[in-house]
Amino acid sequence: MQLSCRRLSFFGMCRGARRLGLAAWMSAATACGVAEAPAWIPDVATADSASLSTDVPDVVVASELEPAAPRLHRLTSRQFRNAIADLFGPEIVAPSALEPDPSMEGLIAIGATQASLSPRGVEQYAEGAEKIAAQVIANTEARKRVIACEPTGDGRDCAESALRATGRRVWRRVLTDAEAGTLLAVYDAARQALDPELDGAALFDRAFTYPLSMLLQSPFFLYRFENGESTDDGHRYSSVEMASRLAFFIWNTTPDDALLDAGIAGELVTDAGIEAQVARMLADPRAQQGVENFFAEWLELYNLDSVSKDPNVFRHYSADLGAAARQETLRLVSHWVFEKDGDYRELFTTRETFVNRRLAAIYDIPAPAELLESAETGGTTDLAFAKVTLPASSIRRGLLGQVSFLAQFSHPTSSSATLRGKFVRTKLICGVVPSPPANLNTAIPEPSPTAKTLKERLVVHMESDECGGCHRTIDPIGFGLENFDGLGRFRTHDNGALIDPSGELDFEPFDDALDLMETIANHPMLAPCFVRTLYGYANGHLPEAGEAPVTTALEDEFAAVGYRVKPLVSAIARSAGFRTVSKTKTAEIQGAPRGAR
Amino acid sequence: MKAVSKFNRRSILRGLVGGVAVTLGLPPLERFMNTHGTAWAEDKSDGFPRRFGLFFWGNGVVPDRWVPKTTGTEWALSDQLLPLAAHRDRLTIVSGMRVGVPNTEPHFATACGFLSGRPILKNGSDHTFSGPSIDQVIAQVVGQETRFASLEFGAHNSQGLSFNAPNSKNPPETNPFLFFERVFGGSFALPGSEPKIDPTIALRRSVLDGVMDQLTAVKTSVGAADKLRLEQHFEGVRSLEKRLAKLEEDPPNLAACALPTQPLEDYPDIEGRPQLFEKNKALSEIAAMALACDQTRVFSSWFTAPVSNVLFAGASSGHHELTHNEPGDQPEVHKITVQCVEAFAQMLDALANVQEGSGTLLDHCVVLGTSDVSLAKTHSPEDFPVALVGSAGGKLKTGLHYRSSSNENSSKVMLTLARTMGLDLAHFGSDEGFTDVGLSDIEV
Repeated sequence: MQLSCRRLSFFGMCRGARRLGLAAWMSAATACGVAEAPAWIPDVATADSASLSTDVPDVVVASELEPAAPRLHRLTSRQFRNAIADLFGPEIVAPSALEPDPSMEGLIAIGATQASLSPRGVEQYAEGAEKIAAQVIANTEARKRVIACEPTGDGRDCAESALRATGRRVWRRVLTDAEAGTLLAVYDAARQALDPELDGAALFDRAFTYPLSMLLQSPFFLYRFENGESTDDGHRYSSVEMASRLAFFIWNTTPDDALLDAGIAGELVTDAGIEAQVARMLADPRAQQGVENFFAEWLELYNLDSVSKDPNVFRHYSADLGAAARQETLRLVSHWVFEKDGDYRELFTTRETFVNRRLAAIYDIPAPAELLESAETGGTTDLAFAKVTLPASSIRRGLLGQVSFLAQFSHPTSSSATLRGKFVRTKLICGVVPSPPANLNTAIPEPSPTAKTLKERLVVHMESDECGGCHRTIDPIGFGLENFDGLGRFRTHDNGALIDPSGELDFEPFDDALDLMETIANHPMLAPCFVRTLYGYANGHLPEAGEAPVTTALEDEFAAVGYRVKPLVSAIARSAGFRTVSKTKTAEIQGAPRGAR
Repeated sequence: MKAVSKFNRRSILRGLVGGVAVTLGLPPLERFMNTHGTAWAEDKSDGFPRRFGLFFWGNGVVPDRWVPKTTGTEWALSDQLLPLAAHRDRLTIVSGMRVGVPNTEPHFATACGFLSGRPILKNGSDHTFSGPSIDQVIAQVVGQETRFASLEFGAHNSQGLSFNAPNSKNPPETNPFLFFERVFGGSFALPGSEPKIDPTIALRRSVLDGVMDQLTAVKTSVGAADKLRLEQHFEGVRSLEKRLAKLEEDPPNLAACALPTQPLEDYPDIEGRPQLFEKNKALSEIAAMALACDQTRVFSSWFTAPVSNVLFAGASSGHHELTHNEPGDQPEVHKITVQCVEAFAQMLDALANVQEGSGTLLDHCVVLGTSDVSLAKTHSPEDFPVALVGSAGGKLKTGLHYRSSSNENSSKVMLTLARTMGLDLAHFGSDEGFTDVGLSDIEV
């Protein structure tokens, strides 16, 4: 296959690189004067040569799916809180202090399958479980959800039936008789210990809080044990396991009764059973909670609370700006996915967004009339958001024109082309940017007569051989966004110098931010990267080589449905990659330490 | 020996509660004796336990302005050590040490190499320590006797670098109010007060027993890495159970123990800058009392994190940004480093303000002040910053500047510290970080 250099840029970036093969790409690249495959080509650095060196271009390497090993997911703090609210009602307040969720491979959902719980985290779960159990018993509505019977005598019969029913919802499966017996023994012991102090209904209720607390700090609530089951067709997740998998993926919370019933009834191992539940779940408001959580993890929106700026440099900064910026992004995403059912790629070029008065001021647009009205009637303006369409004359567009991105990937007193560029490169188009070599002098050059400003010094830095290899793949993207300052305000000058926002992204030149957004929206890796990331979020691990047949098919499916997110969620949930699991348990930590002495 | 619990937990599960509370008072110092015997040879100095502390800040120092110009006992404080003037006689500076593991991940490889003596472990695009950090190496032995094996806290939001094992961290408490509540809230009992006779403690322990049984049973169903995670969860439950048991004992009768000042509930940013020093002071005072009340003997304070870009007072940009972008000899970076050392001094002041016997709490500690790199501009592993304060009850030399002339392995410092704390440790670290010899020049 003959490649033009223009085509090369396409194949260099997109999954076509995989189809074309590394060898063919390299020879074409040499002809075009590109010395070596850039490090950011997906998988080139890590994939085994067999998956890259096919000589047949444009043919997917079709092989059987090799399902990934099971992962042990621990509920994230948000999943824990959502589950408590769903199990016991919104009046029950889950503890605010829980083990912080580490993000790995850019997703909290992946950190949740890797990180261990600290002793402090255990303590917080235990205290939380005790507090929740006490609240449940004290709250009439919540108590009704948990204890449906009327205790008589020693209350054992009622306690047992309530524990079995609640245990089924909390542990997302049917309890064994032995498990029910252990919980009942805790009830008995508590009843006896508390007997001198209490009697009647109060004694029953207080005693019941102990087995309830045990349910809530049990590994069967806090983790998802999903090891699958063997059938004639191979190893797959069981129907009960699928109920939890679907619930935490699509809703970011525990299964509701309908889903759990379907799981326990064995319905979630058939295409029809899963399709019916997925369709129902996507129509449920909790799907919005789930999709918003995915975007928040991926776009690092939960970190916005700790973004701080120097207010002497950015007079529009206030401590609550981060929370408002997160709201803006989540509202746009929700609107896009659920109301508009729009093309994912256009999230980067749309003029629609949602602002409160503070954000409207930062974007230099008039605050929407309804916000001004609500202010006059005493409404809280900072919480009120309204949908706006940014003026056509503005270069601000889409997710990358929002404060949530522009301010977060900046410094406290200035913008950062490198941080912004790296985000686009790694998170949006799944490029690989290696860490800077630590034994290298990473200091940017000292000021000189030809490079006085920080940006001029950065350009010199980018051109150096040692640093440039990577910085050339990230900084130019960020230069395209230099018309937005470290908070996200539009500007034409930086320190008195006119900003030149032109640059190139993977051989596609752009003139300014407006043009860059079009380039990103049309980037061949944008949609495949989104598929890969959402798939990783669903499964708690990045797609492995053996899962390529599924992810490739999902990429095609995403294109076929016009890059709409809801159908992609559905396709992932129905895919073999989400429903099957390897029989072999693995998952040692990768790259074990070298010879321990 | 005194029965740890009023209730036999197994008997509770069988529904047999024998509820008579018996309190046998023990001489308080007996509680410092090591009941395990072998690994930990506790020989207390003037009756007080030794304690270990770590004070960490991100982004290193400026070695030219950190390392004192003269060595031995007659040395003068450098620019960056001036904030420690009040503690000069308790201070030993170790310079010229090198972190020898491959410097593959800026900031983190050297932090891991120093704190754990091991190379950093790549895990996909992330990384983790490949073994426990020094505070946990020590806590795993020294922490067995106290309510908390160790306490982790920090003035600025971060996950810290206190590692039990790969991907197993002890995130610091960064909210002073919650830190106070954790140690001194609820069930804490001051010296002289009666232990709690509370039947619910035994019930809570029976719940924890049940959870441990579940963890033990279920860990056989998962792969090796997940099994480790469940074992660590199990350890957490076990230590919590032990903590509940402590509540049923007499509180230690320690003269220095008192409730610390209750901190504010919130320390909002001012002018886009977190109130690092106010938080650090409150956290330090709580930690000092946690030691004085023998709630723990090991702490680590994570003042700021590696690569932290926090805005310091008077700084024109974020800290990390300045370390790379500020031209010349980096006066702003220097000023920030001095502020980090001032925060270290706040911690030391809090310890020195507690009288213990004829000395102070600080005399019975050794506190290691350090960072993630030497010079952040180049992520240098050479001439790593090491400040040791306190003699751990006379086990370490003080008032000394020891300068290695041969880029010695920084793990030697850690091995000496572990041995100083009474650990019978043959070696520390692995690979290039391995050592089986300590730094005898600073040992007594």
